[in-house]
Amino acid sequence: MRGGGGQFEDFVANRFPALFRYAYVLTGNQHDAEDLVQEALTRTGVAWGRVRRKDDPEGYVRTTMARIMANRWRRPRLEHLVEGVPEHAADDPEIDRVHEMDGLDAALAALPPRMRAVLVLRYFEQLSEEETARVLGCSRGTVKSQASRALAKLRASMLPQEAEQALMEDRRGRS
Amino acid sequence: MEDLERLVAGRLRALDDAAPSAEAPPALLARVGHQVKARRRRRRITQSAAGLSLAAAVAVVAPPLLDSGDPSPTDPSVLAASEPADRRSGSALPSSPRPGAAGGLPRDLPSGKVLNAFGITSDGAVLGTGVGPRGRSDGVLWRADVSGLLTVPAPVAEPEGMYGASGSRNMTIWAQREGGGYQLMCRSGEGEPVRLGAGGIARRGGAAFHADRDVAVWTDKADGTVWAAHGCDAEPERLASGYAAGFAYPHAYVLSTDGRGRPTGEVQRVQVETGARQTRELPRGHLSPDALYAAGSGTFSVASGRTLTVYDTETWQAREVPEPLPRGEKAALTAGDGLVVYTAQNRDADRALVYETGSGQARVRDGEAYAKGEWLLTREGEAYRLTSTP
Repeated sequence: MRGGGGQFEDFVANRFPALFRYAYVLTGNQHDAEDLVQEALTRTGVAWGRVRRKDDPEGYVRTTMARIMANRWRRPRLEHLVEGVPEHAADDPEIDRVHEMDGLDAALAALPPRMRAVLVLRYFEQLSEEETARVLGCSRGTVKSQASRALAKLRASMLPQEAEQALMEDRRGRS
Repeated sequence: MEDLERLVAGRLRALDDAAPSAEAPPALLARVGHQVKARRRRRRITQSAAGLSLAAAVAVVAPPLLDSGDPSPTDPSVLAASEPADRRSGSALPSSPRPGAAGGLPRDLPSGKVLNAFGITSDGAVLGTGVGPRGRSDGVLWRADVSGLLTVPAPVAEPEGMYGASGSRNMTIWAQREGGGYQLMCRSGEGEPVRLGAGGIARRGGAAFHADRDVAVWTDKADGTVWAAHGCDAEPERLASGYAAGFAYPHAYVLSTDGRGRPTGEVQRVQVETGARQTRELPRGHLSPDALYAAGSGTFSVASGRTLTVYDTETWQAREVPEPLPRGEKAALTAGDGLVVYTAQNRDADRALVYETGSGQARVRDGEAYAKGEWLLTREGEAYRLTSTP
């Protein structure tokens, strides 16, 4: 695996844990993260002659992972994610918040890969819309619409229907 | 940042302490090593085949073709490499590279799909869209410019649908699906896409829009009029009534049409700067709805049936190419300064006829090919290859 100067193995050995963590943030599960980091490292290894001349091979791998993720077709899942706990045990704000987070995590996990990649770049990496578009190789408009649709899905998942209706009525009452 | 966005950032950060399973790293790294080796080997084989194929093409079809690029053995890096081919790999291709002569362009795209070229611009930029193994497009219009060598393809637009693209140094135009038809869009540099014309594009067998030297020429579907725009933001100017069959700056070739949009047999050669025009006649056989047209430097070509006819635009003398055109489910006709190229596309294999106007030699080769300006783009295995003609 000594390609183009022989530092690829060293790079992988040193940076694998961090790269895996990023893959995990992008995918949200162990198996997909391992697949993703493997494919990104393979592409990097093939291109190592060029990548090593750049200052930022880790940035190259991260960008590759984001692009692979963003362009991955939604695959059928083996597991069925539960969107939330079936019933509330008590009228406790803290427990409600836990449930809310469960719903958010499940909704995040259920997002199409491209939407999730956009959210990771925008809110985890704190990139601007333009920077996100550059990383993903798409237009700014696509980033904007994907982020907006993703947030709408997440918002819907966090608000039980009744609460959402109450919120709407409350807004109507105030306007 | 809104509350929800903060929450999302927090939930994503909470995932940032994951560790791979204990057995993952060694096994995974071994797989990476194996795949890197395999993919490098596959690329070397592909590129060796491409080099041999092009060497033959250079010898038979276009002896004066220059080539200064050589795909790097590993990756899209070819795009960034700057050493001449003969120094890097001992290529059998002609040496004497010169600035501006490009090399190979691997088809892999950042989207994970592979580049399917629509064609090239007169400045050698490659335009195309990404297509997956099942024929699904990534919906992106990609452009790889020539900057010494071909640059990494960059996205230009992501329309809902499109059927082709053209362009020049500072302009990319494409036909974007809108409603039941296609609207011509234009983007210059980093600017936002703008619409050219209002009535959609009329099309016959080939593309109904063309670009050269940052001038776009197209046929407006609504009124059957050919328009020209000097840049994306300029006010379009009406050139003539009819159908824009070809454009090689400064001349647009317009098929005159009757009131029902049928060609009359007359072709107008219109100078886009001055509006000066000459009228020539085309035989009936060159007016079929399936006929393809292309304008090059000093030539206007017609592919009809299995025959390619090349007109000298000064004398209007016609030369019929004896080699029959290859058969295909779809076809494209392009012309450059000294070449006319017909590509027949098939599900299993593409074939191209490359005709050199100077010598009158023609050769049929495997794979698609496109000519424009001084450039010839050929498909060589899993890569495209751009060569310049003097």
